[in-house]
Amino acid sequence: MKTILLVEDNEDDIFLMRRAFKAAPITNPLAVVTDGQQAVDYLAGNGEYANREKFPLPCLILLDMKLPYLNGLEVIKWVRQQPSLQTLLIVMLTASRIEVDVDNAYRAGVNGFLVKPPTAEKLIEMLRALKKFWLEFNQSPPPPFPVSHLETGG
Amino acid sequence: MTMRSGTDQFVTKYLAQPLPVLALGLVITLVVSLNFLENARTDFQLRFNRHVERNSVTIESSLRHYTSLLEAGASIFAFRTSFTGTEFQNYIEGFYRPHEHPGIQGIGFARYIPDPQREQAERQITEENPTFRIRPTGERPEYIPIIYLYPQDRRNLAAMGYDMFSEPVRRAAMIQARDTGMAVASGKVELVQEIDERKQAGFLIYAPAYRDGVVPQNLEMRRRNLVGFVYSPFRADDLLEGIFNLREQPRIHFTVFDGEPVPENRLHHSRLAPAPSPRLTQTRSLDIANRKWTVEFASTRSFEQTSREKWMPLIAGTGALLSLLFSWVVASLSKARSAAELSQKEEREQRERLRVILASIGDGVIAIDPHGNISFVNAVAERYTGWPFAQAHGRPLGDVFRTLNGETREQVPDATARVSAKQGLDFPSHTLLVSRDGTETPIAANVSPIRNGGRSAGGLVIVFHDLTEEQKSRRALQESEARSSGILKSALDAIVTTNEKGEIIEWNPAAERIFGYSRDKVMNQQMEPLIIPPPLRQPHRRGMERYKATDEAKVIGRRIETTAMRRGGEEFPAELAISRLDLPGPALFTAHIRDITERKQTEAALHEAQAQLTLRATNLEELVSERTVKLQEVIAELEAFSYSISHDMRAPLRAIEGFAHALLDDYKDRLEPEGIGYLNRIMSAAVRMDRLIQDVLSYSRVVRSDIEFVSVDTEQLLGDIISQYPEFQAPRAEVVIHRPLLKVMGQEASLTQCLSNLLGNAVKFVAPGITPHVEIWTEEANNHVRLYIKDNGIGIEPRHRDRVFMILERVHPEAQFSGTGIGLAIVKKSMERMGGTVEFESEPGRGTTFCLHLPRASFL
Repeated sequence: MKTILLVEDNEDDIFLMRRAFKAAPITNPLAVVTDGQQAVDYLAGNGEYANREKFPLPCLILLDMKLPYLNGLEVIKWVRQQPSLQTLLIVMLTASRIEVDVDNAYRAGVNGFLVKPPTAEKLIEMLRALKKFWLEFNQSPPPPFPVSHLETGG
Repeated sequence: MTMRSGTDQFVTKYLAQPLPVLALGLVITLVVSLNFLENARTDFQLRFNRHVERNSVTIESSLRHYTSLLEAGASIFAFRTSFTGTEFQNYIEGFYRPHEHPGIQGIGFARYIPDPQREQAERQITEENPTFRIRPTGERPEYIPIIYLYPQDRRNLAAMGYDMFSEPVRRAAMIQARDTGMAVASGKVELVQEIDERKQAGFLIYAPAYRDGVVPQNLEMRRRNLVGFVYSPFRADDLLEGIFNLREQPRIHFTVFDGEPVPENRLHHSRLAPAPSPRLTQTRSLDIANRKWTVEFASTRSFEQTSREKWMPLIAGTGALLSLLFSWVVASLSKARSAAELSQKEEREQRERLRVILASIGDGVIAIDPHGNISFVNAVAERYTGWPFAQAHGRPLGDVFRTLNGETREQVPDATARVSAKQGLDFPSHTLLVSRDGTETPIAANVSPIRNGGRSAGGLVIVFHDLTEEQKSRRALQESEARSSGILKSALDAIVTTNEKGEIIEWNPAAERIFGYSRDKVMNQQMEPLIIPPPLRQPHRRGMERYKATDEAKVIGRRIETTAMRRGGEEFPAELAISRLDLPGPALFTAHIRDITERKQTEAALHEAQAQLTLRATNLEELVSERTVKLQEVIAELEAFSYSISHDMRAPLRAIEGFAHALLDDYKDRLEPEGIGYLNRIMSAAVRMDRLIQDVLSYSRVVRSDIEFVSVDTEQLLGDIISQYPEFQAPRAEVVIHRPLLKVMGQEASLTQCLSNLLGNAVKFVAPGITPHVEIWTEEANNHVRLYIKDNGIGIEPRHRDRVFMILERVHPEAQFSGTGIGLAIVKKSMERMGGTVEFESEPGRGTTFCLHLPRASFL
């Protein structure tokens, strides 16, 4: 089972998301980072994240827009600049449905844009749909090589 | 007069004599006859030329037509690379019809066969035509035998297999055709079809056919790609007679030669024989399929007989006869006349001279004899008295020449009685002449005795002239003087007239007032030191001198602004117009001077005001731009604020809802029903708060966003909205759209929101247990569209009328109909932003009809 990476700074939202994952149910392991810099470190395999056994590259990222250190847009831009991560699936999951946010996210290269629903019920419903689409029907891109390998010329 | 009498003299002197008349008649006859002859000859020549032209064109155009048939035939290779005899025949029959194209012996195809391919080709051809053999026999490097030739009559069958390339004349034409890519006519030949006794001269036209049916670009390719020739043999007599059988038969003779007109080149001569020695002949060169033909035309005997020259003797004879007759008549007439004329002539001339003199005088003249009776009245007097001389003659003077004193209206006493033998007498002034019809004319008249060499000849003569015009112009002058003096007195402008020395000769009351000098003081004074300020005196003098020298004036006839000077030296701004009085004698100048001090002050004040206004406007603009900047800052802050609302403020709500939900999920068993109820309330409150925030955000977006107008298809828009939400569909609601709906100008997103909100309200606010029924239709009004949404809901109370459109206002308690109270506010604001309006009519309990009013989409 491939890992899903959730980038979310709000503890409550993380908690509710974990519950909704269970209720959906999505059985993929859920890795969580709480700011943009951590997300970049995780994906680049910096520091402790070099351990890919423990921190495997995700098959899907659920990314919030407003994040400490690096915001969602900056994370997307960084990801899309990495040759090995260009095809990584990123779905925005954020509170804002403001047009300019949606537009910027798609321009930066996200694959989907979801708005956090106001109720737990709706969140579960959404995750069910997400599971059906992204994890079952959708043909995912081939897995990327680990960044470290590329950097060492492997 | 001299002209006239000159002509008269000529007529009497010559034309009244029989011999000159005869001579003239004969000359005229000769000229007419010669002219007729000349015309007849020209006409004959022109008609001959026309026939030559017509026949040449007929021959040339017919053959050009045939040539193009062949070229069309050659293009068969554009469609196919090979063909059978039947296919060729079908193709040819598509455009060749023997009865429409007389004289063509047929259309055939001759195939180009180099010697190495001979056997193979012959095999191939004999499959189709077993009797086919290339003739004449013998080996040659190249053969171009006739393969097909239609129609397949007796003559043409005789030609099959004939290698035309073996014969020098045909070969020359074929080579030229092959190398140029154009159809070429051959020289004169005897056709192989000539199997009878009666042989005709013949020729052929070859149209080269190349592979693919197109003419290759260069010579080498043309030689290499040749596949053969589509060609026609022609029997010259059949051809040329056939051509003319379809048209007007030639009326002159012609002989056709191939090339030079020598007997062995003769192709044809027309049926009509030439006259034994033809009067007209002409030779023409024709271009026949790139070959030169010569045609010799000659007039025939019957054509020559159509010339009108033969009428010439008749015309000449008739003319001579008429001249003789006429001269005889003249001779007898002139004898009778000349005798009578001489005696009367002198007397008449003298009287006429006198009459002419008196008639030419501009004054009226009346003469009376010693008895006081009228002996003469001239034309002018006739007109003024109204008496023609014939009637006045012999009457007493008083009958004809009636006069009145214009002032006393009494008859003027008879002046004739007082005239002495020696001296004339003037009539009194104010004498009016009364004509026969009562018209009165003021006259000056004089009566004098008629004298002859100092002694009285008896009788008087009255001479008078009309004073009407003189009196009229005198009155006009008086009126004009009166008028101008009135103008001078009442004028508001100073009017100053100077003579050529610069002395003042006119000074009106306004001048007195403006300059401060009385008229008496300034009359005949020099104008310059009085009213021209010192700095302007020099230029004034220079201008005057220039004007006197050259008549060139800078100031005359124009309105100029300058400075003038009052008594005491005060200068003031003045408007000045100088005109030259157009009177005989030395120049007079009139200056109109207006004191414009006040106007100048007003103007200055106006300038000041304008400057201040400009200053204020500038300040105002600065203020506006300053405030605009501030406003933009506020808007930016507002945007940041709403951004943060949508991101951050909704998070706690999600948490409240989420944790309440978790609590409910995980601790359901341990909770009292009451506790479960509280949790449900917490959850629904959180959801409502979230919706409220979202609605407020979209309201603020409507307020801020820029609107771009496009044509919106409301029918499609509504269809989309209805299909998206189950609550607008059966069985939950009935929404009826009365198609077609008119298109509007607006912004699609805003309009979608408006219509969803209105539809949402329409299906939401219904009494319990009633299925919502909504009808939608549009109407055109004045280039605008009214879009109606009518529901069967609970309606809106009149007292709530104004509140429904206010933001966050709710009419019904939340428990009854959920909502945020922003929907209609958004509708109203959106409509305003799109330049439209929203209004409604409602009857509580029966339903509400909302009406959106928007510009209509143009038809483009």
